[in-house]
Amino acid sequence: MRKVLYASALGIIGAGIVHIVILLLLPAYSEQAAWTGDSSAASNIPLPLENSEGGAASSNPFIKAAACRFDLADSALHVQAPETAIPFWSMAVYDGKGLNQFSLNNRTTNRATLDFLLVNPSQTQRLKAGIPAAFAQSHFVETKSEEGIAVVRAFVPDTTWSGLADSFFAGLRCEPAHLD
Amino acid sequence: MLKNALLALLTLVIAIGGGAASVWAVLENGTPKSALHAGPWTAFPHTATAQKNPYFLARFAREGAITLGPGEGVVFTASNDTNGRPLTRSCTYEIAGVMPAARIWTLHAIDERGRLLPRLGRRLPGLHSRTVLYQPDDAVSIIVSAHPMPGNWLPLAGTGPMRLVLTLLDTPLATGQLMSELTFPEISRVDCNA
Repeated sequence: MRKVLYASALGIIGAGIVHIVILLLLPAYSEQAAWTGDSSAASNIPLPLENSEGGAASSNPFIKAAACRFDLADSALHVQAPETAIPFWSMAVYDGKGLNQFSLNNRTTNRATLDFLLVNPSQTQRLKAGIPAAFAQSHFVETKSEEGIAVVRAFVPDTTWSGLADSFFAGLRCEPAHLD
Repeated sequence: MLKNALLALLTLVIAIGGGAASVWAVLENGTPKSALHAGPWTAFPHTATAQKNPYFLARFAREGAITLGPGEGVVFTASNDTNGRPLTRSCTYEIAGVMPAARIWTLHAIDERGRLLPRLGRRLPGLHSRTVLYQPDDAVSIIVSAHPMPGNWLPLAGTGPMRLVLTLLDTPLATGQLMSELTFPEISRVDCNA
């Protein structure tokens, strides 16, 4: 009987260790599944995110989204979209693990158009020396991660807004920007 | 000899089974630190502090979805009604009360795998703040049912379990407003098709 109790106690301690190990290994293993899917980066046309992907946020029938991967090692990323009458749009930047680094919506910017320049800390230093004229109107967003994705979302209240949303996403561009 | 082997087996079963089951249980139900709870609604906002929590990271990695950033909004899901019974598509529910503060809110229904429910005819299983009728005190009453209903109706199609998703776009919650200062609607079961 004592031996059974001893074995059970040992098992519970082991369960604690297994719990911690699984917990810490989960992100490392799942990261593969979420991020190796389509790694053909360096496209200027943002990839539409389908609603069917699952997950509480991406299943929303009233939100359309598009994403572009970026790698800031060689150049900054210029994310730009035409001015739109869509009631709500937003942009979020995620690092390589899919963690949110930065996010804002159309009310939290002081201009009505989506125009962002994603830079890494060394590119920020270069911008301090002088902002190129092409980006004089852009918002600068500094990210700590070199690689990741930028996601642009728009609220589409009903099908009468689809045309407007389609032209917003058709005009959305993610272009490598050389600062010098 | 056999006795020792059995004891070793018992230890291993408790360790591996218990460890895996406890991780699963915590990730399914959420941890008090990283989750926001309001009645039947639960959210996992992506704040900087949450992103340091290993439970949050494991849960996020397991879902594999790209969630909203705090500057965009917060997504609440409900798997149970206010009385704790699982939501199912064979029942009719009433969602009643004042929606939390947000510029826009949307409500839609998903299946157990997280996909949007099929349309009922041409109707989407979703509503938002610009399509519903409000009562004079700003409250809403939404009927979630497979049968057509007057007023605000969220149509359900198919059978099986479901979850309701309440998305708050541009909400003060994401920028640090306390949950206790916000109101959330209740989900009550009206009746069920046997």
